[in-house]
Amino acid sequence: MKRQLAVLFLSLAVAISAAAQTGLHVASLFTALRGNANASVTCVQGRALKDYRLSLFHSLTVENDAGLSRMVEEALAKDARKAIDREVHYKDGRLHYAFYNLGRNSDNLNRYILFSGGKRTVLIYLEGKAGPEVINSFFK
Amino acid sequence: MENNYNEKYLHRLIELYFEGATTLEQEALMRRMLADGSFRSTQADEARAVLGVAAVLPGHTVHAHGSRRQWSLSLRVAAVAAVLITTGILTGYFTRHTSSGDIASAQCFAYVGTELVQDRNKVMEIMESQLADMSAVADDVNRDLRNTIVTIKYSEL
Repeated sequence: MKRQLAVLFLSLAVAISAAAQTGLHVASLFTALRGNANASVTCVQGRALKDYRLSLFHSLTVENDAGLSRMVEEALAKDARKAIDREVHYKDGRLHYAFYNLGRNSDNLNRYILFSGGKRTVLIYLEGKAGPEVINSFFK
Repeated sequence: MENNYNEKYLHRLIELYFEGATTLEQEALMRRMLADGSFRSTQADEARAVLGVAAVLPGHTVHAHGSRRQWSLSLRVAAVAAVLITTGILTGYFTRHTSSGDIASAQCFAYVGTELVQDRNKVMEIMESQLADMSAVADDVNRDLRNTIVTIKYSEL
């Protein structure tokens, strides 16, 4: 009976944990905007990212669609609240560049969001073992 | 001594029975031993009470109701259900995390507008180009920041 209880509780703990990992608002956009004429979505994961010390690269680009750009910025604003570190720059009253460190997920992988706005909106989500200093080195 | 050994064996059978772990032969033996009035321990009396006196007599096949055996069975069912639910969630997570259903096995793809690109080299080019563009924006921002700091310093002089 003790073994059965242990299996039950362990399974529930894993289930709850798994469900919690996909909680980012931007995650739904990567799926929703695939095939959209005004957007580009890129996904790279696994061994291709080994040199970057990353396990997931997910990006979306929006051009010539103010409505879609606003949707991206709103989703980003919600996820940004969970950031443990950030660098944010505004230009002409609009978000121009942002780097958010979202901390580690339950798989102990670091998560980051990078954003650039303007005529073209670009949002990049990175996940992996790379620390913030490694990510920053990509851009400086 | 032999009676003590048999009584210990009966107690073990009763434990296994309430865990739902007895074989049919073990259950039949347990019932015969309980029907034998010589085993009068508290555990044996409790088992008789749960199973019902009539149920331990030969020829009866009435199952215990409201017993720990049913609780143990419910727990097993719940454990199996929890494992299945977890498997379902994890499968859904990995499918979502990888890509849409039809290209779930791909590790590398890009949608450029409505066009799907699955050539690994082209996708890596797109990725590197986007990282380079982001780097250019970050450079501009850092340059603006440095210029602002210099301007402030000069204004303080």
